[in-house]
Amino acid sequence: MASRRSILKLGALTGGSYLVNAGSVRGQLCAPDGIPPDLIVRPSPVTTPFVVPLPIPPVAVPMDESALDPPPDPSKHQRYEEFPPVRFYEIHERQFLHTYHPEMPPAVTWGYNGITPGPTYHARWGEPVFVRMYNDLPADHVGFGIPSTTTHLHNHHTASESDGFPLDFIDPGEFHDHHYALFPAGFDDREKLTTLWYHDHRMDFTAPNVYAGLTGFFLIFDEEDSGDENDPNPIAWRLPSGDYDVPLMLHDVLFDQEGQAVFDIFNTDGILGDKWTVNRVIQPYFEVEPRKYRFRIQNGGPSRFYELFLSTGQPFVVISNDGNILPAPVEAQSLKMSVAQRHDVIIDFSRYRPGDQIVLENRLEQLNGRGPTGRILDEGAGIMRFDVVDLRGPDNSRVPEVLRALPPVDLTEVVKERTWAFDYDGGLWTVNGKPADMRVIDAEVKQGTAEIWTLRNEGSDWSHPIHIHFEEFQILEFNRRPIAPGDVRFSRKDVVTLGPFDEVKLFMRFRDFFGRYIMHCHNVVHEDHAMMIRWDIVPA
Amino acid sequence: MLAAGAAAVPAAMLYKYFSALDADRGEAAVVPTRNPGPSAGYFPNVRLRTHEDEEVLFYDDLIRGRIVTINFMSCRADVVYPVTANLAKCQRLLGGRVGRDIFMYSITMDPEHDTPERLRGFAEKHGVAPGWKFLTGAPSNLKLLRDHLFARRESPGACVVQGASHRMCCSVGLVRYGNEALARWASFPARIAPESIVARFSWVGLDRPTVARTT
Ligand SMILES: [Cu+2]
Repeated sequence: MASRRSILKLGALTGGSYLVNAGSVRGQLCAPDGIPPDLIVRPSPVTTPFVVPLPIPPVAVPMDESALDPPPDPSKHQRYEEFPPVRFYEIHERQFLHTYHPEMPPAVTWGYNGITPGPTYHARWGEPVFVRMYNDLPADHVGFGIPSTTTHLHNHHTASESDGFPLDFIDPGEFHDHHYALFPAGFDDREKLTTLWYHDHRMDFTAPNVYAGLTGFFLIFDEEDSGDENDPNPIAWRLPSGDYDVPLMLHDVLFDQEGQAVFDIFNTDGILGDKWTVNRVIQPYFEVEPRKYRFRIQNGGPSRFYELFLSTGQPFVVISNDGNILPAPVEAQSLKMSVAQRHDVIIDFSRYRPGDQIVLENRLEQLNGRGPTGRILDEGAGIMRFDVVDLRGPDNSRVPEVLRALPPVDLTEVVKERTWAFDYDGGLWTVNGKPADMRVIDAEVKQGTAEIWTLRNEGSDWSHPIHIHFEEFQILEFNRRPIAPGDVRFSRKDVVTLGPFDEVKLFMRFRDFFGRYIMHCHNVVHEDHAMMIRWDIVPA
Repeated sequence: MLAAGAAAVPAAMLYKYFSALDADRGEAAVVPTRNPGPSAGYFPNVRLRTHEDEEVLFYDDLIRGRIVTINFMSCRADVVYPVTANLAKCQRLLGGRVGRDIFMYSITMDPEHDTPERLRGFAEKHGVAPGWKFLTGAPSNLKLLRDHLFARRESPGACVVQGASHRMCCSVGLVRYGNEALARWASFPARIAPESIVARFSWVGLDRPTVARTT
């Protein structure tokens, strides 16, 4: 039997056709006998596309600190007194009935404050936030998902105890306090993030809990990205704002004939749905004026990879990658988005006339939860539709030619290199041959240092979107080549997609906090089936 | 704290039996269950034989209403990819609770080799106590179970041939655990620290007074 290394050599000799060879030699997984190549053999009920208006999650409303009972306990948090919160929130995870589409009955759903996606936080850099998260899910819940939760704000620069570590869960009736200090890593303004999402991260149950509805947006503004397209401040970017700044959370969901979301808890490859939802409604439409919009697109999973196109062929103007504003806008014909990846894009509809319709399409073929085939389909699936209406006022928004510079990569800071191999073994998804055990520390990193991490996919038949908590990384090399400026991956990132046999070299820093963090596959079904490591930040 | 409408929702609605396999049961003989619990559809009610040579119905006798672990194994695969010794440590850590509050099932993927007698010898070798059953049965019944529980198996004996230096394609490292009273199911890796494994049973309802154990 050929080893992976000999296969790679063979690939080098035959000019890149090694994937086919490798597949026939090693690494291709046959599904258990009798399982069809995808799960969509019992399709969801038929629904009419583009009849539901796009819902926009409401902005989370802060409360008075004095209303928190008991009051916050600063001793439970790192650097609380240094960064006292100025905004306080109390959020309740609840079960409720949710209408995915008017042609289906309401579905039992979980969400924050009784909605999904949950309320959108509007935060500002330099203004720390305190969130008290209550678990009010039904303790006697029967079905997929567990009414026991831990909330991760992906990928804010968060102290370990507020980061939603998989074992820091709360049960029904309990709460957990999160302190978000809202300063950028290393107090370097170039490390600011802009579009974040929060979601459940419960050990063993992340996939069903996220699928059940536990996701939401968290947006962070500052003087440049001020959320005001009419901002008189000369340093403000004046990106499209207000009604023209629209978060889009993508989930693919499968329903039974009664309109209830179904989830095959035993499938370890990944879960695909046949209904495209945006902000948790099926194939919505959204009325747009002929002007510029900012869309914050988030792939909420659980296992779907997208390549998004506009039906008119108009390119996207990409301004962020994984929530990080790019050095400069990048024009892209399509958006490749694996689970947990996000892009802020500008779409200028001023070229259209009222009555025009533009469909946001996914054209990436994916037949099972293990990953996409890589084939781009001629006919896209309609995710949502933009319906052009009359302009209601002037478009004062702008898209600056220069945005946020990358923080410098200084290789002299590097004190250690580590390699992480992502593979399959014995029915489990493994990292360096081992499945997750959160009691085991897989790496200790020293606070204030930098490291180079090499991530490698050892499989020919699956893809892994790998997410590293805490600080954003930069890609030094992807398959031994640097990323060129103008590539959307010339960016800070927190999810890197490893296709078959891909290898990526990352530069990472570990600043400001201590404690337990994780790296995991963000195909959350792979995560729940053990593709996760624990790494700790310790004193230097 | 639930919204008014939510209280009236039968919670079981969230969990709907989904299986692509109804149409393709082959030779497997599924016995209609006497009293289907919330995830009866996942667990075909097939006849199996234990290492103590009793005949059991998988769903009716082993799963319904219980907190259980389920793993697919074979005596020969356990040589190159040992899991049973670690699960035996878990059983010892759980003391007398296995057989009373928790039930453990190990289903062979290699029925040609793993007869009830061989499984009995294997269980004895590992010091297996009551409450943990090793199961074999008609190949078609075992295949249906594997398919429903998404367990991969290569051709018989392939696991053995592969050896320790290669990836194990059979799903022998994966243990399902859950509580059928709540239809709450997940998985743990068979070879992690026993302490990490036994901590999980409370997650599916062990010793949780707030959690109804209905059946
Ligand atoms: Cu993965």
